[in-house]
Order: sequence, then C-alpha cells, then structure tokens
Amino acid sequence: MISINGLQPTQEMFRYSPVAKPTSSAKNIVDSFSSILNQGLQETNNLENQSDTLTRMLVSGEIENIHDVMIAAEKAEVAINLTMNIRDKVIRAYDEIMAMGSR
Amino acid sequence: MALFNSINTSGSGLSAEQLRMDIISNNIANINSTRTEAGGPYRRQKPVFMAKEPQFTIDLGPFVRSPVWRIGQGVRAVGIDTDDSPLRKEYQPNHPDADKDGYVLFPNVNIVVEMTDMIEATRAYEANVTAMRSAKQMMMKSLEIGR
Repeated sequence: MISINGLQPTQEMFRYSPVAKPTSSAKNIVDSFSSILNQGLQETNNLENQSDTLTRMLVSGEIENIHDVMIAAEKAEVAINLTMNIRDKVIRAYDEIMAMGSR
Repeated sequence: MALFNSINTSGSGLSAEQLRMDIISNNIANINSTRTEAGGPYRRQKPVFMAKEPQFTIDLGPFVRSPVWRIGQGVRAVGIDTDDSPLRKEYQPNHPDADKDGYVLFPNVNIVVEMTDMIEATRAYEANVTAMRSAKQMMMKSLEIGR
C-alpha cells in the first residue's frame, strides 16, 4: 500500500510561496498569482544585478573570491531558466483558455 | 531565495577552504622566518572553523516538523590560531639571530604536514564544487518536469 507521505514535498512548497493558499474568490486567485509572478521576476532581476555587480568587481580587482562570482552567475542562470519555463507555461495556459472561448 | 540553501552552504565551504589554503601558503612561505613584527620567529598558523547555526526566522506554520530548517548554513571562519608546539632549534652560530649559545629558533612549520594539509584543502574545495554542481543539476532537472 502506498503511503500518503509521498505527498509531503508538495505540501512543503506552500511554505516558499505564502500567497499560494486555497482562496475563496476568483479575484484573490488572480491577485495572488500575479503577485507570485511579480515576486519571481523581482528576485530574478535581483539575482541578475547581483551577478553583474560581482563580475564587475572581479574584473576591477575588488573581490578576491572567484567562486562568489561563479555562484552568483549560476544562481542567475537557474532563476532565468525557471522564469522562462514559467512564462511558457503561463502563455500556454492563456492560449488554451482563449481557445476555449472560440469553440 | 531559500531555493539556493545548499548552494550557499557549499559557497561557504569554498570560502573556508580558500582561507585554509591561504594560511597554508603563508606557513610554507615563512618556513624559515626567524623574525616577525611582534618579535621572535614565525609560528605556524591554523584556521579555526565553526559551523553556522540553522536559521529559524521563518514562520513555519503547520509544517513545523520539516527537517529542511534544522540543517546548518555552512561553515564560518572564526579566527586564526597559532600553533604552540615547540620551535625548531638549530645550531648556527653565524646567524644574525643566534642566541649566546649559537642556537637559532626556526618556525615550527613541518613541510610534509603542510603539503598534506594542502592536498586535503584542495580536495575539500573540489568536493564542495562537486556538491554545488550536483545541487544545481538537481534544480535544472526539476525544471524538466514542465517540458
């Protein structure tokens, strides 16, 4: 018999995005989704800027740890990949909803 | 982002191993230094590392029992310790720092010990890089769920 504990990781994801709770009205769902997107874009932007700043500091000789620059670049890359995947999903969902109306 | 916890932890490990490597190179460079600014010969230095405490600042809500937030945040260098083992005494009466009996005190740095420490620091650095790459690969793999 498969234990229900397999669902545990999915439940933990709610901790990372506190707005993703089961909501009561449609407006709340739209607000929380767009705020999630906004938050994600903000953090991706911050990571990109941080990576840029660190690279500039390395080239001008202000920091001594190369691995800090590489870590910031990797974080920015992962965040951008994630954002692009989410963007694809959002666009596809939008297309499907638009197609729903035309049938 | 809490998503990057393991990457930050490995990053702290890289900084710690790099500090250790710097200290080892200083020890090797000063293996015959009979004078220091504070007087006396150079004494071997060792780094002191402390594990960072796990952070509990996030309101966990109903999912308090999750083990993620009990994991530490990596390593932190808290100081550089001086080795108190006895100095090397050599008989060189013509040395400018010789005492009245003709003995000179040389640093207590053993080149073999420093070389093995250096290999250990290098391997630890590489292990931290491997851990970070594995964590990043896991993240990139999880993005393939949506493909």
